[in-house]
Amino acid sequence: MSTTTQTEPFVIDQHWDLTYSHTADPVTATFLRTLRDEGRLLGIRCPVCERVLAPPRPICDRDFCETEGWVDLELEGTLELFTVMNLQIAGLPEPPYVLAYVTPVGADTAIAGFLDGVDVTSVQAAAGELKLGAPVSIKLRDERQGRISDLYFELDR
Amino acid sequence: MSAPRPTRPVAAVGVGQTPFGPTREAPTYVELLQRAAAQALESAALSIDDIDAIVLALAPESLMGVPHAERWCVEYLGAAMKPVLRIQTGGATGLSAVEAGYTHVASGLYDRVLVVGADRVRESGDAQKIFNKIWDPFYERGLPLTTITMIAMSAVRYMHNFGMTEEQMARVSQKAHHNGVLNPNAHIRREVTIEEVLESRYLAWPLKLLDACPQSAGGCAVVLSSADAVDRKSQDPAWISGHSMAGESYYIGDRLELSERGYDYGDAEALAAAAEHAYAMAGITDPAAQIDAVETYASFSPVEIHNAEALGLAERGTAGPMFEEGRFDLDGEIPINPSGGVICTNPISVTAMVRFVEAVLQVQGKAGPHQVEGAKTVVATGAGGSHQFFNVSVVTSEEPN
Repeated sequence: MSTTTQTEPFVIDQHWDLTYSHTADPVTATFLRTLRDEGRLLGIRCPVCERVLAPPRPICDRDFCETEGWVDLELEGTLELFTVMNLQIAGLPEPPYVLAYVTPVGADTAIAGFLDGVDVTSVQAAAGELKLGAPVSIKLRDERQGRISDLYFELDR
Repeated sequence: MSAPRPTRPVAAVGVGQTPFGPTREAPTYVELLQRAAAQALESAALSIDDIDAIVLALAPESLMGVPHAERWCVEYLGAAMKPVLRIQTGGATGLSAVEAGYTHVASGLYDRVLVVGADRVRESGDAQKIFNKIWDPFYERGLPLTTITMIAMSAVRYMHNFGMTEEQMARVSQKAHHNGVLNPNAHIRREVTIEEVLESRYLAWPLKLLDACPQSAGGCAVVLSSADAVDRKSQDPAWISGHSMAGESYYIGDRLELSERGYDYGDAEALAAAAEHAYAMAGITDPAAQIDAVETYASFSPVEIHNAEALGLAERGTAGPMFEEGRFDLDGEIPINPSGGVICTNPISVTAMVRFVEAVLQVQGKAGPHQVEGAKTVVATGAGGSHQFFNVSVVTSEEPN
């Protein structure tokens, strides 16, 4: 019996379904609990470089030291980065929407979040509405889960 | 910190690339590895028995779907009973693997090292879902951070700082596609006009589909040799005259204040840092005058613009118009990505190694239709992580002193 090598792709489908339980450090846990339960936005200071890190982390990645000293941040900030996302990615929201980084007043670093309230019917027109350096309000969702997405941004008009 | 100092010269004596293309029709992962390795060994006129150690370039393995895949590869790589290392720095992996091979040889530990890798990026249709998982689970995952949005936001920052336009980005992509047509190994081989790029749909503003890299399958390999082990009758050495790598903070939100160098997230600061060290090793004091061509890792068109500045080929904020003037075209002053670059071919684990292999072919005068005439000093770069890990190799036809 003769055998000829077949060239049509022979495809084996696989699906990964994995579960992880990530334990937050105490500083991150305090930030997320305070955001969820009290609606307050916290930063933390590095005693060496004196940057106020937002979101707060237990150690300063620049200075090899523990951060200490909670700082209440204002629910106002500056638009540092944005994009108008127009691509559907599995498990992520339906586009278009605006993703941004905002430095809260009183902090030295920026937090990522959705920027709501912009008409995204046209990606290009939405981008035209947004200017880096613009003042933004930091808003809190009514139903908070203890996730960074409990906060979102809106342009000050 | 002090600049790196090699203890002895290192040459690339063999290179291999499979043709790059869509994943579904490509050979399996291990076949791609061995085909690239066999080609590199053949071009070095060596056999696997001549190789002292193997370095495997394998980026996030969830793309091709076999965790801990170095297990699968040992005999395919000729690594049985030999030292074998796997290297992973995301998109920078391919050049980090060359760097591991380089340090193996420069240190005097080994005379001949095979550096090899492969990828099948579209094995999963969920590449961007996987790339969302590279963000930390506490503060950034769950938000739509991906390799696309991270570059889109860097481009927005650079536009804000320096006035880059979407037309300038489109011009970079038009050039890349033009060069890719000349490269028989490129995945995407078709001309696009500036208008077509501008009219293609937005992925994440200001990035459009035709500003972006494809998802490619293929393999790549390099044989590195000490100067003593080079056989000048059978081999055509290309020398690593300088090499360095630099990383920067994971946190994009921490990279918005101007650094001491005067850079922010709109730039590729760690690329500038790596270039400073690599250029110092190679004796490059005037990059624009001394470098003949560049193969730089730019997965989206605006990255190529700020990379040109980080590499010292343009003053800060001025590269966009220089691309429009054609100064980085194949027939321009300093051709950037004569191969078509990452915009035409992106097999992630080896994308940065392809930059190095193309630099080797250029200084050997063997690049083919996209050869830069008289190229003697060519720079290859890699980029990985959250636009965070950068490496720079200076490849020369002359042996370093």
